[in-house]
Amino acid sequence: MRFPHLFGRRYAWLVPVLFLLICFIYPLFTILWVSFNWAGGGMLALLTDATTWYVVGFTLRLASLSVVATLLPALVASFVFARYQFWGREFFLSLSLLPFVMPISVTATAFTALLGERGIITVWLQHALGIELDLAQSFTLLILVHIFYNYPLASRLLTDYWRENGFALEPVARVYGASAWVLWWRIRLPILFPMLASVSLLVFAFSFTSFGTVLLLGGNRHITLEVEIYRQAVGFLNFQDAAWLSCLQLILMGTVFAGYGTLQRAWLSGTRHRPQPLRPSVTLTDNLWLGGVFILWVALLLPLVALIWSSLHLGGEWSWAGYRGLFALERRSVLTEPPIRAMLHSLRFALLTTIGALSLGGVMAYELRRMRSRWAGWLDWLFMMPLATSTVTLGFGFILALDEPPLNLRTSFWMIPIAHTLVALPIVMRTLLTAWRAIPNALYEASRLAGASPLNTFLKLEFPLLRGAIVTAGMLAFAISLGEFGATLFIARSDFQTVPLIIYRLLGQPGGNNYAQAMSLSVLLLLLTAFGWLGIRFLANQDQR
Amino acid sequence: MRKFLWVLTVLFSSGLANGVGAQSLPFEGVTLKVLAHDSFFYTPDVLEQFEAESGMNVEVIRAGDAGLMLNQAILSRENPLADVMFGVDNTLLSRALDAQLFIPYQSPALERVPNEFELDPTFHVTPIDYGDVALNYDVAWFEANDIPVPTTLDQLLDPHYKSLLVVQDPILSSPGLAFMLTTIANYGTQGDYTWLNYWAGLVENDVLVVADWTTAYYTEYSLYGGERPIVVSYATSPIAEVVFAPDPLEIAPSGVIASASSTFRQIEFAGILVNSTQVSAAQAFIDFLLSESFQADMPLNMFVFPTREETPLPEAFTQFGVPVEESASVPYVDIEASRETWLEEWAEVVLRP
Repeated sequence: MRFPHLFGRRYAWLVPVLFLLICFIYPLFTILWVSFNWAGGGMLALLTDATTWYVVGFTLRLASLSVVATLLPALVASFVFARYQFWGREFFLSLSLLPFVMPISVTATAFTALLGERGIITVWLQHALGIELDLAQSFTLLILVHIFYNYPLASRLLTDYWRENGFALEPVARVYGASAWVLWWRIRLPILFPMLASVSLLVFAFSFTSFGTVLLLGGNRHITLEVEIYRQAVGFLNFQDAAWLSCLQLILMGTVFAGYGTLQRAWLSGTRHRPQPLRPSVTLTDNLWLGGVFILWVALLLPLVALIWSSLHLGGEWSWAGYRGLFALERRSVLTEPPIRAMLHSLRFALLTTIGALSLGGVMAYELRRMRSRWAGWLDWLFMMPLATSTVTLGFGFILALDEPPLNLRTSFWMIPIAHTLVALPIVMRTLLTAWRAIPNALYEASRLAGASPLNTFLKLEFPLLRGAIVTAGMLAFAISLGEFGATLFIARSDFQTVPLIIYRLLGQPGGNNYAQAMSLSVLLLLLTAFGWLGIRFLANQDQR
Repeated sequence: MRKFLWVLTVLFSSGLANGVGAQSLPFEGVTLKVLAHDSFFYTPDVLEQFEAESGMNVEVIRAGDAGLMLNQAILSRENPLADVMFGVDNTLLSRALDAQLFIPYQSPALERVPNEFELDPTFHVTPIDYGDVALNYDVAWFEANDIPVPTTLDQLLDPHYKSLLVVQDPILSSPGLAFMLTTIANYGTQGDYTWLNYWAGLVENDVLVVADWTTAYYTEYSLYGGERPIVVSYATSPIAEVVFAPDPLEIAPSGVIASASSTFRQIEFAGILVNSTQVSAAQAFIDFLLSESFQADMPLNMFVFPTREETPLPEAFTQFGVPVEESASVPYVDIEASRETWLEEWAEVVLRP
């Protein structure tokens, strides 16, 4: 069937595609091209080096285990959040994005305070249960940190999707005598499958390109491709190997994305059902589910609590010094302007990123929602590729490529929101597209039979059904921008310091006040995210109690 | 008019009018871009005064740490990101010079800078500040555990000091590289016992290697709740601990192991980037970096020492500073020539034992 189309002839997709061409593909190809022209060993030398394959193997192992380890708890949590009404539901949901914005240096400190040699949990396990825990620089620690960072995204996306496409079939299935087992395998998981696949893909991509976590917490035995690219480029100043490794990473991730694309053709037909009202927990099973999720949440929040504790606890005493220094500029830290001003920069960048990623990703998802041509697959694939790209390589690409008018952007204000938009775009598009494709064809047919114009179809049919996904995507973009550090660091930037960068600068100098301010600023970043989330939910009137 | 000024500056700077700097020249409407690493700190007033006096507008562009910044400068050599670069040090100097990144400029203010700092005889770079990478120790920890503080690098191999030291990966971290060079200067690369034997000994004694200074200092160092009471940092770090203490301190909580040759001197340079379009303004800025006001402002901001002679040091430096009498040194040309080999050898011994 023909689908209604807002933009008449289909040229609207040119805008996001042009953005990607100019701000992603062009810089990337420039840096790769320049690097290959330089003297040194080639791809063959790299491919025959055992170290390369060790790194590739490790990266794949880390990424796949991270997906499994993240999805299991996320599935449990989203089941509960999509199904039950309980005290504190909104509060817990609003906390869900917080780990997303935690700067990695701060996360490293928090995890060490909990799980280090003398960490609270380590000591407790030893005293209470006699268990010796040695997680320092271990693979397990990396997986734990990946769960910490990815679980919020996963549970958030799954909860919204489940809530929208939910449990309508279940009463019917129960009438026919379906067991719990059958419910899960034949009804819940199949309904959830498109989003489950999208989420797995995102978590896989994030873990595959994991940089800060592995660099700071992995020690020297654990090296991902992304870290190796950084080591070659910045440590050995070996651009050529760095470029080849970047290509290898692009090829590997590109293959994974392509495989996903092939899979998803099977789900083009919508499976949407009416959202069911949330129900109170009544039975023992209900309460067991709730209890399990509560324990999960406490575990997730522990690093945040450790952070708040260390922001208030200086040299063995309680102190507000860190927070005091944030507002008034005292001669007591290395910063030359009150860090609170960086908060305003960060907010501005976050808003621009949200607008940019939502509009570009929205247009693209709208165009792709029912396209079945080979082009659609390619475009979809292309828009995932920023996730597969090494940030340090791309950062160098910006410097080389965007240096002439009219594209003299490399030290401009716009470079940071552009980079953040590139990071957020794949997630936003994935979220919107998955939700869009869940709208059943029958609804479009009905709308066409009723003589609705494309605009009316969009406003009256698609938009209301997508509102939840749009809010989630927007908030994810907002949070990604607030917490983004890797790509921002690799951009030469004029006087626009973001909060994570200020935290990084504070933690680059010795001294109790610098440390305390870095911790306090991180806490403020968390609060900002939490309030931003609540605010947007309030504005979007998403409270579906 | 501007052309005339430019000619004038060239004349001055080529030595025809010795003693007259470019400072007094107005640069009305000129925007000068300065590429710097993320640890470039200064008191805003000092820079504002320079801007007011020179008429130029200085825009500081930050580009990560010194290594990252240098990479960006090399990549953008043809169409530079800025006019002046601040913060390339002697461990990276040779790479910058090999890439022909700078145009020469002999600032008149160099007269006040001891010759030992001007490593490049062709004046492509100007020494602005220096400092020493040194082992810091947690004073309270050593008192509480009643263990004498080690005084030499050799002692770190002693089983008494097992599992006490945390260092940074020299491949990724500038102080980490400096500490590796310290061991090279001390133990040499030839003979029966080389620096690699020393590192094998450190590994035996359970040295902890982490990626960067921040992790070493704020996560692993016992002063901030870690497990290791000895950390590779700077000789001035204890001063920063006092200056940035939440409550006033009588003594510094960290000490420095400053015995002969256990420290490594880092000199930071500034240079005018080749292809800059603001050469005369850039020269004036280099002069400003060596001026009394900026030199006196540096210590409390970046915890480095000014290269300009007789610059008064702040009280915190005179009171809490630990004099470093003799630093280890490796000629900067050798560093560039062998860096990659050394790093690979180091990785071979330390990362894959």
